[in-house]
Amino acid sequence: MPGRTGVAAVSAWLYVPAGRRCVVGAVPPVELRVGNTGTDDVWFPGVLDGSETASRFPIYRPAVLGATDEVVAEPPAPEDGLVGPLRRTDFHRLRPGETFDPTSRGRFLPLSTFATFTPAVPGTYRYRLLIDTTAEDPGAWLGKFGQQAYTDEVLPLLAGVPRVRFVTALDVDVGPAAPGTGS
Amino acid sequence: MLGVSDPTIVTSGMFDRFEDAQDYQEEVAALGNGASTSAPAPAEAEAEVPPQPAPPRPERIQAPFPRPLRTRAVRGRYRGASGNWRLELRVDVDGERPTRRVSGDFFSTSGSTTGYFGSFVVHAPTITTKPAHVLIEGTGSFTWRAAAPKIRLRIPRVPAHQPQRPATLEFRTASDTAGSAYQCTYESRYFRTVSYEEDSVTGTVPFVSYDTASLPQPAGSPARVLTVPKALAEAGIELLTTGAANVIPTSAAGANATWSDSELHAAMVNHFSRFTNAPRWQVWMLVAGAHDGGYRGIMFDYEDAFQRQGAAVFYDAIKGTDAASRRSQLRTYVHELGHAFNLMHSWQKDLAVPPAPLGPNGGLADLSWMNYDWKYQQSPSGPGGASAYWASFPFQFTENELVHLRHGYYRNVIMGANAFSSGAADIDPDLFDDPVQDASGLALELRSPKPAFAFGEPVVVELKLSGTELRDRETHGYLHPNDDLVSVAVQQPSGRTRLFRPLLRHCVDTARTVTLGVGRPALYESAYLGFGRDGFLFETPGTYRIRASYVAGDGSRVLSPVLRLRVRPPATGADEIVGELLLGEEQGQLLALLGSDAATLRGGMTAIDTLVDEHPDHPLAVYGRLAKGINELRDFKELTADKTLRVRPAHGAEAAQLLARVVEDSVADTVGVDNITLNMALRAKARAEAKAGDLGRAVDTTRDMVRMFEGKHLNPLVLDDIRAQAEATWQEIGADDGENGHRSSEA
Repeated sequence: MPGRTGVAAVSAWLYVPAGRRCVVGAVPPVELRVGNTGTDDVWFPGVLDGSETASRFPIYRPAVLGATDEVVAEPPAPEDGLVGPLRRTDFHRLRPGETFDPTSRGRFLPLSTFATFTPAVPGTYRYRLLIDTTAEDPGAWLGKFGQQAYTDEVLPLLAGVPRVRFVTALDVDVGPAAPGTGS
Repeated sequence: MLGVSDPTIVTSGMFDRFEDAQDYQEEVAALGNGASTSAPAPAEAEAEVPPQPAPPRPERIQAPFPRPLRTRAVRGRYRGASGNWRLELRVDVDGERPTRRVSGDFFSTSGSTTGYFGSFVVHAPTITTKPAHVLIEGTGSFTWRAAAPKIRLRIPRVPAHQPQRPATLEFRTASDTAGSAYQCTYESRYFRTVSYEEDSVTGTVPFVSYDTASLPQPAGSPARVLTVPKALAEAGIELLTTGAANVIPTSAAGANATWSDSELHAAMVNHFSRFTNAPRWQVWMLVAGAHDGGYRGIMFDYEDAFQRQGAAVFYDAIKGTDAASRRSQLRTYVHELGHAFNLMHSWQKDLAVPPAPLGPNGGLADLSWMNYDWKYQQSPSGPGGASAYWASFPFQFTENELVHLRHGYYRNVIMGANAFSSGAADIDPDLFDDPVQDASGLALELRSPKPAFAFGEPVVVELKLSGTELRDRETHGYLHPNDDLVSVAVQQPSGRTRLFRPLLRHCVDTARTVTLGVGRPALYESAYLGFGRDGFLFETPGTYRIRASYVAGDGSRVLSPVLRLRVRPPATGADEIVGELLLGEEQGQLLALLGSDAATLRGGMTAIDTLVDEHPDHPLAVYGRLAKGINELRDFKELTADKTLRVRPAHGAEAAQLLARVVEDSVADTVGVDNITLNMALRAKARAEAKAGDLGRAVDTTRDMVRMFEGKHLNPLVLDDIRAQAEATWQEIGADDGENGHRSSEA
């Protein structure tokens, strides 16, 4: 388990991959990376069941704002609290300088708000993401079912997660639909 | 419960003749109009017919020329009994959304008590529809080791206006010997019936109904008015509203007026008129104001020993009288009740024990009551969100969810039995959740040491973990399923998929870091998968599909391709006898443990002795000798009933003799034990010879081991490992022997 004796720091950034365009009628290809900017190894969790609605830690709460800062997309009120267990595989080990995608398909959950928001009019949209790992109480992280089998293995990893709370944002210019797309 | 009695081989109390069914078949045949078909029975309209104790014979129809009869669907719930056994049978081969399965639950009566015994499902039966009856045949998956696992079910077809006549269910052994038989009377068109009590808190308004035509819906979804019971009825589940609808004062929610899960549970205990801490087909729904967590609803009973008895919806979060609000309310009610039936969220299916397959796009593309509308997404870059969900959602459960609701094993579905997420579904190795992107730099492979296994033969597979890049890749070396970081799923010939759960799990508490690369391209491990905590996995002849998942040091999950292997049926009488000697519960444990002196496993050890003594030349005797040989090599410690530690010393000479025969019988590649086990047996033989005082022979054995594997033309790096193992074994033997003052001067 990585210790926390060094400087543990993480940063996160949203971006649109080079060469990709954002147009009306299509989901903007906004992606996320989290990086270790400290001097020590850290364990960092990806987007889990309940993260997006802030029903459990880690919190990854997204929102999309329109031209006048009005919220045009955000997760609804949480449906229910039956979030799955926190497991060892929910953590990614980051060495200093390394980055990872906490929405990586097959391992973590996507941020559905970003993954399904389709702008209807051209303009600049602000993609905003709150990342919060500050809860010290394991109960705020653990799942509501099936957790017992994993608790012993995740508690040491939880101790190695840097406690951070910050917002990262990206302004995305959405252009008109390409001719012939019908959008 | 297991092994003492078996409702598939009842020998007393069963009826001898199915006269009614036979006569009736003849009568209908007289009306007949065509040849047999092998297609499933068409989904025909079902007439609601009040139950009648003695269904009348059909009257002969005077028709000028033969014309097709409009017949009832045969689907539904039937009930039978034989001796002390009661059977609830579910037939799901026609009617609305048939899953083409048959399942049942057995109960045994003793005195005036009746208890649940076990369940079975036939996942892929052959369905033959004839003019007079539907014939369903197949091999079932059982919750116990059924002696007669094959079924033959005949259900009369009757005109639509007549009540369904009894079905006859016969069980047969794998070798087609008749087992027990049940005559089952038709009970209901529903597969399961659940009592439903709905209470509300003062100030809330319970949902009543939603007309699916109120808002645009997918073209294939018929317009209809859905209530909560109607939505479940479409899945084949009957919700019988019971008890008075109580109105609960808001004070029950505590001072803050919002509800916690524990407050909801307390309210259920106090207000659910049928509440009892026991498995029962009954569920309580509370319409409350608001939850502490701001939820729309919750199945709050997920913590104690009798879970899934109650759910709640929160009026403040879902209220509204417009069509969209009522549509969402319906979804929330049905969704939370789905949890009470042990259905998990669409993206959580792989978290069930055992894991279930995720639907497309990690489950997010499921058009199901169990998905969230806002999380719905057809594909990673496809359309999604609430509007896309409602544009496509036909107000139904997925096919896999239907299978669970209708045919899930009794304890996995009934409220108050298995914990939420336990036994929630089965798994499919082909759908074992492939990562969309795999940058782990690792590859996992499963290999079978032989093209097919004999009936009863212990199934051992080889696991190989290798690097996929030229650069070195660091990971951990825990490659055995016993080590908790490797999972293995096995799909059986019946179609059922089970997770291999090893008898013993090893704690992974040391680093054991390995670097895979040019210097060491791969790791190998041999794993006996034949018997685990859930019993035998490969006891039926047929083709099995196996897939493994390895969690690497950085958390990456590496999946193997699917390995197909075959278990042959017994070719001779001796094969069958020998196979049965190896397939006992205790023998399975002994093979997993490689022998034991434990008194509780004495019966199994006797069977293995019988195998070795009475069938010494049978190819499977090698496994008996292996288990006995390794056991003889041990100083076996046993804590007796009076708490005395008794040590049975190792028998080196006997162990060496048994293991020598194991080696002799395994020299050829496709007979005897696999190479990795052979390697282990050779080193054990050397230790046994050393214990017997023959150090020279022991050293020869280690040298023979190297020569033998050199002759098998293995990878040079693997051969290097084997040479190192031989050297280590020699040193171990030398050290042991050195303590006795006669260290060998050889080698």
